[in-house]
Amino acid sequence: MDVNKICIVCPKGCHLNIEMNRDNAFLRVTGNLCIRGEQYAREEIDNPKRIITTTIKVIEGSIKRVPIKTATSISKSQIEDFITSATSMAVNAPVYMGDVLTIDGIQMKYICVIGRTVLKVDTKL
Amino acid sequence: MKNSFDVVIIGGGPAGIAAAIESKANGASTLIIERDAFLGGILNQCIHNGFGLTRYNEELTGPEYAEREINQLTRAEVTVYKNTMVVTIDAKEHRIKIVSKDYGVLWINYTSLVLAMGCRERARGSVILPGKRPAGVFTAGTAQFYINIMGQKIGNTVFVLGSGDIGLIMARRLSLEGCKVIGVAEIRSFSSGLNRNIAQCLEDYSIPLMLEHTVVEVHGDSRVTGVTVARVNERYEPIESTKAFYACDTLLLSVGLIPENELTVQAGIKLDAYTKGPVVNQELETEVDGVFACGNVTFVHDLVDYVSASGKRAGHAAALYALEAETRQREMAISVSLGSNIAMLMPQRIVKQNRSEAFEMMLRVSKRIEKGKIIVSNDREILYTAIRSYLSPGEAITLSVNYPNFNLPIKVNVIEL
Repeated sequence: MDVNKICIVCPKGCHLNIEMNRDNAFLRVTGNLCIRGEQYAREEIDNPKRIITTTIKVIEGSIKRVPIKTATSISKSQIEDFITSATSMAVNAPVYMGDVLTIDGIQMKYICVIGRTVLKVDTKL
Repeated sequence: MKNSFDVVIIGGGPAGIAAAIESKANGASTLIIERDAFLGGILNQCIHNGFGLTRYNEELTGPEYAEREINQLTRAEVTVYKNTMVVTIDAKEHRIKIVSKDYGVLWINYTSLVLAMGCRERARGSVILPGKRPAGVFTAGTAQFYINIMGQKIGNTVFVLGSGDIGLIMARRLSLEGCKVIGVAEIRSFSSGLNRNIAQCLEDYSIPLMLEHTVVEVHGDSRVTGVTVARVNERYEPIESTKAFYACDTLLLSVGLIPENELTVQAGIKLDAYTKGPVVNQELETEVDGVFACGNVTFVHDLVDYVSASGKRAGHAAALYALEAETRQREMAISVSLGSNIAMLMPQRIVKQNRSEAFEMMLRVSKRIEKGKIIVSNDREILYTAIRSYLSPGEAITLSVNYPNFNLPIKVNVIEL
């Protein structure tokens, strides 16, 4: 069986044609312009993953929310658990871009990276 | 405080920051004026990833891209005035009037000025949107600000009109934050968003994309209660028999961006009817001596990486102008015009340069073309030609065009094959 997917690795957005075997496992892909497209196609069939970004509350920060992202891509089936767990999360200012943070989900612990430096309120940048 | 600089840049987003770093690196005293309390512009609210693949060779979120740029700017020791608005450009006297709480109202003198004001969203007034005027109608960028910066939820059930990238990204963001996004209507037969965003923002969240559909009525008194959506014919007229009601409390508009050029117009700088940005030459100088422009104020770019590259080019040219201003002689400019299947292009003028190397041209086609031949030429020579597949109005094309040997008008055509 064949499936058509758009590669999301870069803004080129290659049109992938993915061939699968009888057990619906990845067989081969055409239409990708680079090797990353093949990796994406393989993963998209076996275990689709995404980097997820959201914001969490900052206490005493110069802004109210700080953006975070998962350090690595997580399974699509874990997205809801991650977002729900991040909703109740808060950090104290200051936080710096690149700081690592762990969010405890029901399914697993999610390693996240802070995406913006937020100093304490009234601190001059 | 200092009120005279070699180069003054209006706007502290990615274009302005790149222009400032490059200007300073070339030895010009440089000032950036930013109306917000933070540098980085709209990147700060674009928390999704996908930025920087060209510039940094890695996938960053908007705030990460912004902070890297800001850190470089800080190291370059460029002067920055935040919370400051430019209210007047006096191009004749090479000065601008600024207003801010910290500095009051004053004039700043410049040798070169760089316009880097970015673009803004087309809003409800820009599209025909009949019906009532209840609360709950947001542009995608406003919704993005409420959610990502303020941390506020904007509604429960959302319909999206228009399929620009910000609309697609917000459809995903709203879904993640627990809203139900019931559909995205696009009046044209194709989305202007990137293919990857249709895949990762709509398909991942099972949000239907309704091509050749539009909102024909907004319902609700104090708050949106729903929208009527209809299919359109080839003249974009709604087909009566296809009308359907969708109950929702929020309508998001993602109907395009336009360069923000109020200051440009007020300064008497000529705008291009197609890009809606100032007419510029290949060094990003406008038709007014010493005024340069870069980033989305000139042409709405697809990626921030290209905006930074544009800023760098303008910053370079502005610094050279400032440092060599007395000896500079303006050359007659060659005009570049739109031929078949071209919706817009930039630069619109080519000036003689010392090094007759290739120059960069950006264009958008006016319709989808499966396979097309791009030709840039004058009456005597072909300056660029190539055959390309899958040309789409949603994806700008960048060409490296040979500098002409003859002082003749240039025309750009895309021939369907």
